[in-house]
Amino acid sequence: MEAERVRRAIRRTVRSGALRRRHVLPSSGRILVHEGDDVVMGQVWGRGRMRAGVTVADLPRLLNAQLDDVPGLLKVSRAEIVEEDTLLAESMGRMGIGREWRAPARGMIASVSPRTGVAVFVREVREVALHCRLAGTVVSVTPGESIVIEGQGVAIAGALGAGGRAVGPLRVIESGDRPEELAEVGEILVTPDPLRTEWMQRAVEARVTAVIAPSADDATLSELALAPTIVGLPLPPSAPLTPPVPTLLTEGFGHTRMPRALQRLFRASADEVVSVVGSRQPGESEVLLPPGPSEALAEELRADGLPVRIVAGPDAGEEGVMVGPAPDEARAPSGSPAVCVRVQRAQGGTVTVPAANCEAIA
Amino acid sequence: MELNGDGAAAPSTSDRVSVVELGAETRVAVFARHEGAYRLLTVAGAPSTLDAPHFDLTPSFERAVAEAESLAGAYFAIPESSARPHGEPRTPPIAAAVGRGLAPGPSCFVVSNLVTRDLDALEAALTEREFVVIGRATTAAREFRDRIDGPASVDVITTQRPSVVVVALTEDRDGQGLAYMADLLIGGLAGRESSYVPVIAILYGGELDDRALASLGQAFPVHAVSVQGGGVDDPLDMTEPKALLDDVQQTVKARRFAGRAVPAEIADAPAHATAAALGEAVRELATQQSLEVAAVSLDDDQVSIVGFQGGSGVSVGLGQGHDLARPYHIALQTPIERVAQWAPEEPIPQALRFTALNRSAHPAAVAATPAELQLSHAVFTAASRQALRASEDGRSPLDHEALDLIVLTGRAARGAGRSVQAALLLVNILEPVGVSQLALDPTSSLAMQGALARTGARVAFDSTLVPLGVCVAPRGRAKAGEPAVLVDVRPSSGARIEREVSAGALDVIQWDARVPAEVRIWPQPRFDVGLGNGRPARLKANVGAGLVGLIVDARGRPLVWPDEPDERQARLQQWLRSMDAFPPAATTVASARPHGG
Repeated sequence: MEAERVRRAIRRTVRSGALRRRHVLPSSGRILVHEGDDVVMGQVWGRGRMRAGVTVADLPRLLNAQLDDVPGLLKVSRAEIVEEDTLLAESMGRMGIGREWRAPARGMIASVSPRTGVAVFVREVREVALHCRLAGTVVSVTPGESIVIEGQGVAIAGALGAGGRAVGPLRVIESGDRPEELAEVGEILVTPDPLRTEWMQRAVEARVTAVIAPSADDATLSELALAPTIVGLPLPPSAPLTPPVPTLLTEGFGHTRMPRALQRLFRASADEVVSVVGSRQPGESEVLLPPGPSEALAEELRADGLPVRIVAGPDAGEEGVMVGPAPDEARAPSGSPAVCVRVQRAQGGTVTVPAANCEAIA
Repeated sequence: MELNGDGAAAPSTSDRVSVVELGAETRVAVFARHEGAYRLLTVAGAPSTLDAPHFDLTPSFERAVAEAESLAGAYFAIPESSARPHGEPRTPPIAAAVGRGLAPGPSCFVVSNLVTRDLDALEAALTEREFVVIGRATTAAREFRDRIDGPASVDVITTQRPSVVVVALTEDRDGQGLAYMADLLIGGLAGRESSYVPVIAILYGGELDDRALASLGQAFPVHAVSVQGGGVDDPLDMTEPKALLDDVQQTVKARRFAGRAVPAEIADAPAHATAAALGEAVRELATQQSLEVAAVSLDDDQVSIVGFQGGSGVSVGLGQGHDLARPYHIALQTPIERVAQWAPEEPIPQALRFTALNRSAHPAAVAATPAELQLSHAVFTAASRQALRASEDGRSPLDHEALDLIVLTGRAARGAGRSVQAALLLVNILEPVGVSQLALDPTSSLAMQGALARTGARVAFDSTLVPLGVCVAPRGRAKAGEPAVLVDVRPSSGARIEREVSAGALDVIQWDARVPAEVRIWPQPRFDVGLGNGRPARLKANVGAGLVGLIVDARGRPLVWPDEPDERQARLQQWLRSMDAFPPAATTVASARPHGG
């Protein structure tokens, strides 16, 4: 009974079995599947247009001009790439005092409405194919908005992430191996080591589609633009505004290696097509593995006791197996009331930690 | 009343209801009705499964229910013929749901050119439906395009992400108003990487522009209606707009859990934001006990401070979102220099970011060491003080000289290692002046009780509060070390305690918690406990020591800090030591080591 209670108190970061995922159109786009369709992971379910760095301008107001005069005041063509601070439009007022609209970044004028003169400047526009992140059946379609797919698989939550979505074959790069020598174009790489900037650069040069790593430190997060602006990390001038490829950290911020149980799950799906979501929104990043070997392995891992990682306190970063409740301990070492559990560490020895500081990883 | 197996009286199933709280944990509180009022029977939780890898609230809800059942035993629910198969007990019906980002009505941004009379009517209709207006771009001028800054409004909408954008235009003289709004909203919001898609609600005085509506409809869910009236001498007929707002509310409700599976009984339950539910609880507490009350709710992802004073309520907060997305830790919204002010050791920026980012990534985690707990209390204190002073004039909306009862709730209330830590959080955050009672909500169920009260149920709020003690805080200032106040505690049995406390110091007087005591206070001539400088006071009623005792806070108001970091840290450590708030540093290190291995 007590064992059941402490199991309930442990956060699960891996779910295997039936999964359900909503896929959302990024903008006005087209949905290419129908309710009841069977889909495979990576299949294109829709097409849409994605914009980044959007700025809207009310040109008649900004330029103090009549609507009909706006086209004549534009200095660059629509869709013409311009550098930051380029003069986009200009009006000359009486007394020689003019008004102007300058490019807020490198990018282009995406549209100027002939009805209202409202103009849109964008840093980037991409036509994107939208891929199924899960194999299964399309159970609902909301026209113009989204689809929902239900299927089997293994979902692994990411601690942090950024860069968007990717689908591709999975390759595990062992410690010390060079990604540029082993990775194929379009693959999703997994490294058991904390992420380093030069490793990531080599992976990007190998044209991989996503990277899964356990952790990254302050400097790496900053250099790779993985840190959300809200964190307030200073971005070096040369840093990109978004990571070069979708990136997911399974453990979080710091220097933690990937737990062996997670490594085994990834290795079980090597060469299979998997999907990654790297989102700056906490709680949204995840990896989806197909059913089969990884699902069977997750069950096998759980059969030997619940594999856990410790996420806070002096033992943070340790991996082990939950042995059972620690009924004599009703408080964390901080003094806070806590349900405590005993964890058999992978490195040997047993520690008692609050159940809230353990996460199940299989 | 019915009898359970062992012969004890237990209320019938219909006398029990539950309230669900959504956050880092999914929590279920079960209430039993006794003598006409609902009392908390038990509360239990499990780590939320609303996020990856589940996107399904069901597992955590079921675990929380199972935990509540194991805690409450036979009192949880009684197996009946209508119960689930195999004699499983029936879960008490869910009366309400509460949480960050939950609200009965959607958040909205209003763009309008309505005259003041009609704008007031529209806002009243929004308020009636519990819409929360989080931004406006309005003008009474008919040429609204010249008067509102459309692109700037789009920037605000992009940042604040309201669920609904309400566009209310009448007497649109050039007939291009809807086309303009369509171009602005599509150009500014549609197709961004954030995938933010608000519902657009349009009230238009005239023939609807089909072309503009068709464009909008390709990018957003749109509700539009042609309205009557709205001229200077012709009030807006609110019949159609009200019906439209009802439809919008249903659309938003249906989208609330989009992409996430949520048990129907939770999705359909009346929903309340934490701050609103807490406000209800504080109002009820204040009204029932004729006191001026404030509550401080501290969670890793949001801070809410609500008060009910002089017959009206106030509420401030930090991190209170408008959707169910898991937020970042509040430390990331709190300037590090303000956190450093409350940390006995200098938190280096990287260390604070490390803690905050990893706590955002692992939301169920608790402070494992005294040092982690101290840092989290420093963050809570700094964030709360920032929230209190976030108004335009930088002044707190609470009257800190009239706080009869202050309650600590939220995760910090459940996680306090020592009761005095909870008391210190309250005193350091609110800086009460005069005499205030302090209380703890150790189950952190106050917001859940408030949510239940909002359904019209009578709730015995005080049944879950635990007295922490009393804080005596004179206003005044003197050189550190000079006498500030003398306090005389006379327990009804036991020895009399007299304590003189110097300016700049904190002290605590403890006596047998079972014994009420008479308290007399003699402030020095430059100090005032509410009756004027140097005027002695005697508490009208005898008071209990509670879990902590009587705190004498002679640090002066407002608190002043030395400029030098070393001096500041020394002073903070002195305060913490005088209250025995945390274990000494050496103990901290020793106890943080793992056992075995």
